[in-house]
Amino acid sequence: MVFGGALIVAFPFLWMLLGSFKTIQESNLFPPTFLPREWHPQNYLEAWTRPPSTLGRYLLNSAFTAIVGTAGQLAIGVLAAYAFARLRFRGRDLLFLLVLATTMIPNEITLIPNFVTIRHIPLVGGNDLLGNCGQGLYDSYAAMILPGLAGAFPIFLLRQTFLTVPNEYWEAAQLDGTSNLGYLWRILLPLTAPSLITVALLGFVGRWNALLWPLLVTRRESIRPVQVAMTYFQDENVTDYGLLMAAAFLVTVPIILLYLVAQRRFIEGVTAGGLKG
Amino acid sequence: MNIRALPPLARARREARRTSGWGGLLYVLPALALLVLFEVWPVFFNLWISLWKWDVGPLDFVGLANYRRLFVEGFVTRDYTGGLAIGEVLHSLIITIYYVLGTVPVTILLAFGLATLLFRKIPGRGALRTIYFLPHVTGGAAIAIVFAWMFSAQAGVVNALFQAIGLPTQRWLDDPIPFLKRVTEAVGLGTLPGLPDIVAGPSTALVVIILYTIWSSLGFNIIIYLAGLTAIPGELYEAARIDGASGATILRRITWPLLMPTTFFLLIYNTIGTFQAFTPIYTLTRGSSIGRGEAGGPLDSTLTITVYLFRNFYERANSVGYAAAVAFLLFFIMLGLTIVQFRVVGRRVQYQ
Repeated sequence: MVFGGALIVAFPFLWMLLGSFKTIQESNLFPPTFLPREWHPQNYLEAWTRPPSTLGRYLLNSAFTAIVGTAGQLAIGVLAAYAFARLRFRGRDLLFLLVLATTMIPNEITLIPNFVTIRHIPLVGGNDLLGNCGQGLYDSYAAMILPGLAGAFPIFLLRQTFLTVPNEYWEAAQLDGTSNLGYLWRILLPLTAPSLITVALLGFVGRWNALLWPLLVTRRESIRPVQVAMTYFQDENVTDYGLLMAAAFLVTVPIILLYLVAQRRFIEGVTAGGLKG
Repeated sequence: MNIRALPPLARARREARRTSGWGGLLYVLPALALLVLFEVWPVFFNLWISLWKWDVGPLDFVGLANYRRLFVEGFVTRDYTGGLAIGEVLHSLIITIYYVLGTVPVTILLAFGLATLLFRKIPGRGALRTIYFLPHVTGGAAIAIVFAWMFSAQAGVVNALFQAIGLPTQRWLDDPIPFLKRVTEAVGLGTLPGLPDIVAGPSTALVVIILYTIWSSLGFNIIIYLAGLTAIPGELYEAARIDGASGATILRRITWPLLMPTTFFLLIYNTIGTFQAFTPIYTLTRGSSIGRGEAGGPLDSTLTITVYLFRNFYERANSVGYAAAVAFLLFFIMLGLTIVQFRVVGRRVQYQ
């Protein structure tokens, strides 16, 4: 049962890989061939060059938004988590409760207001001081990145990790006259690197796979991420399955490699709280 | 773990050494500003938008008209003959419930079974876990397109399999007819003309979405069950084995009851995920040859409440205010589920 199940689960990946080498005629045969009768690697070249703005460009857009978004989330999350774990300030517990409470807010309710907010950010995209007249951040990288930049889950997870670091490290750092930021950067972050990697990986994968939000807030081909591009690449080549599989493979393989390299971190993160960006 | 768990004196001592006053606020300011602007404020802003007829911007203040449309016409409406009919919202909710019922119990039972097997020291265990979990990380539009080909009516490998084992081939993603009727048809009972489609379970197209969702979320469920299994003390199994309990009895009397909190957590977690699913439905249902080629087809038979929200927001003119009202309905459903989930997570932590 376990082995049979694994075969079924792995089958779509295998089918994608085999299909990516089939010609359009062969991919439409019924019943289908298992191995390609004639290997047709040209699909990859075509998948790379044919979309309106070339697949390479879309992949770059995805990589850019995912990396900047994840790095920003990590930076913002680390600072907040450190303060919530180690600093004492007025209203700390209340504010942490507020952060936790935002996890109860589902994405759907933020969709429309955030779309409107993005269009009305003042002084960008032709907007005046009050955020009118232009399109604000609509149709920009910032529009894709900003709303998901601060996640409650990373803050929560990093805070938990920071709390497990023994107090002696801080005391020793204080004897050396280290500041808060110096302690955070030189001691705490290296000590908690596994958790940081976990948060980064989950953030990256969530952003790489995102479809709905980037679809809503972008229009220009030159900035759209690859998952959005895949949907109309699909519309334009409905039955050229070989070509579609080659494109799908190119889009999926970075994630597969990342997962194979850092599987343990993924699983730790998922066990700790689910795949939330 | 928690700083409050320390005795008061140690806690005070520890905290006194830290910067006090407003310094710490600076650290949390970026996160808080973003969370307030893009998470908290939207709840109120969404309410405001839902009171308007709104397109790119506000057009008319309409008060509760959008909610009337949502809760009155959305539930009961009149068809072209003047008879009573199911409204759009109720229709979407029913589709969503079919989607949840088709996905969640199957995923959980499969994951439970597989997790108990993967928990044993079988050869290749690591590789098996890797494979099962892989679909969870590759959950974008790209991989869903593979399913569009596999379930293609003309060139799909699934139809080839059906033909090979003597089953009638299906039109899958192009078929708005309930799968139940396709089954009764196949066994010679006809398509049950007396039974309205909407009460006959998920459409054949939705079944494909359900299969995709099970495939893609199975690994996550297995991982969570495996984490739960490691928390069960080994002595319990030993004691049961000494008492002569069979493997099946142990599974039913020990493993399943002890993993109940995990199961309950997964139940809610999967339900929420299914309610929110967008990518597979958008990717797999636009290409349908029946209908307008919008997500949710064919003939709206995969139009879950989230896709219905998207349709009104993105594909209909002047409907943004109404979509915001739909978002509120969804918000309260999710909030209810999330509150239950938080309680369960709390309980789950206590068990460990």
